[in-house]
Amino acid sequence: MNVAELPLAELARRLVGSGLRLRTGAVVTQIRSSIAAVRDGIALLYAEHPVEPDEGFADFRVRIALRGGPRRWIKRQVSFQFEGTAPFHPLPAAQAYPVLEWGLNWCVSANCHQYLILHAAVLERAGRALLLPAPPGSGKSTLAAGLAARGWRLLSDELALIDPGTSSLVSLARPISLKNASIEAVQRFAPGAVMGAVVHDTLKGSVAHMKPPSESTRRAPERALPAWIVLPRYEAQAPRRLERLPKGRAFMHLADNAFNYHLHGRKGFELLVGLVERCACYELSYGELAQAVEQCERLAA
Amino acid sequence: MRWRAIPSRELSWHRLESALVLRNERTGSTHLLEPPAGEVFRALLQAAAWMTAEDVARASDEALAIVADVLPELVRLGLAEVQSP
Repeated sequence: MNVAELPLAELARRLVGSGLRLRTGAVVTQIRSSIAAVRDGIALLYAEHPVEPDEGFADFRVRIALRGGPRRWIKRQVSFQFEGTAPFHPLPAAQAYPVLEWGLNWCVSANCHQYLILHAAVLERAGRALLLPAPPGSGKSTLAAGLAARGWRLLSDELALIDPGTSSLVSLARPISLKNASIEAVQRFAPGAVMGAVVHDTLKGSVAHMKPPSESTRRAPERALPAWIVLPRYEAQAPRRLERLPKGRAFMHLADNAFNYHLHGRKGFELLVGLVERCACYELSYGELAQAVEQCERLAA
Repeated sequence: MRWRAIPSRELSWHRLESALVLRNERTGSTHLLEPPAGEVFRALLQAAAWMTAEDVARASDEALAIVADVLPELVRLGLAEVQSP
């Protein structure tokens, strides 16, 4: 069963009650919330994601809840709760849905140490994976959204999970987080893309989430082997420029953008060396999403 | 002064094109040594013994002035040790 097959009332009942056990690729999260924006966001953006049985296993148990106490009469806030604790400061209630997405990212990056986790988007075509490792603001998620809209399979827009045993990339296949000008850029590029509500005035500016393509959700159990590492860099008005990236620098860039490289010790080092050795490595500057997508299409041709 | 690389058991290293990437198992730190620093360090590693800067220059085929600049930097990074007379 997937989320869309649950009547909205049943989805709400599970979210308010024992929790919705949502499978996002390799991870099952039990989500609880009585907030309508969270329910509606899940109904829209996770429509095709599998729902696990109530009594099944969940990797994480999270809750998005309105804060109580007298402050709620002054400023309504939501908190993200993980296994009964609140790891973050509360945020305005209007940001409830982004809080869920940010919290889910944190759950994986802070806990899934069976994988080497890189801060990178991952997309796949014909079994070969493209890694886009980059810090926030580099245009990584924008490019990931553009590629997903052109038929690349999305594994993640934020977290590359590498299985140390096989060096393969594991899918998370969740909504793509877009910020500020990239929201409109993606809507222009892919008018058919399903987008959630735009939430303004967050710490990251305005944010909206794009539903992953059906194919990406359906094929989430499939792994992919890395073939390309492309460091994206968005600069307004910049011409498209693809340059080969020396592998030593690619290695350091991956190490610097890893969440848990230090935890994997020598094995993590060897894993990253192997990853870089098997991939063609590039830097891609772009000012127009369409040109960047076209460049990635050429790489994969 | 004489110089040597830290013991190889405390180091993971790999050549990626013309550069060396290294993990210092003692500190957990990771480094990228591009030429000529990578060549200087490789010479130290291969010798596995105390070397003068002149020895390193000969073994690495790098100019002595470059070697003299690189060696203290390798010590600073915890990748080499120095023995004063």
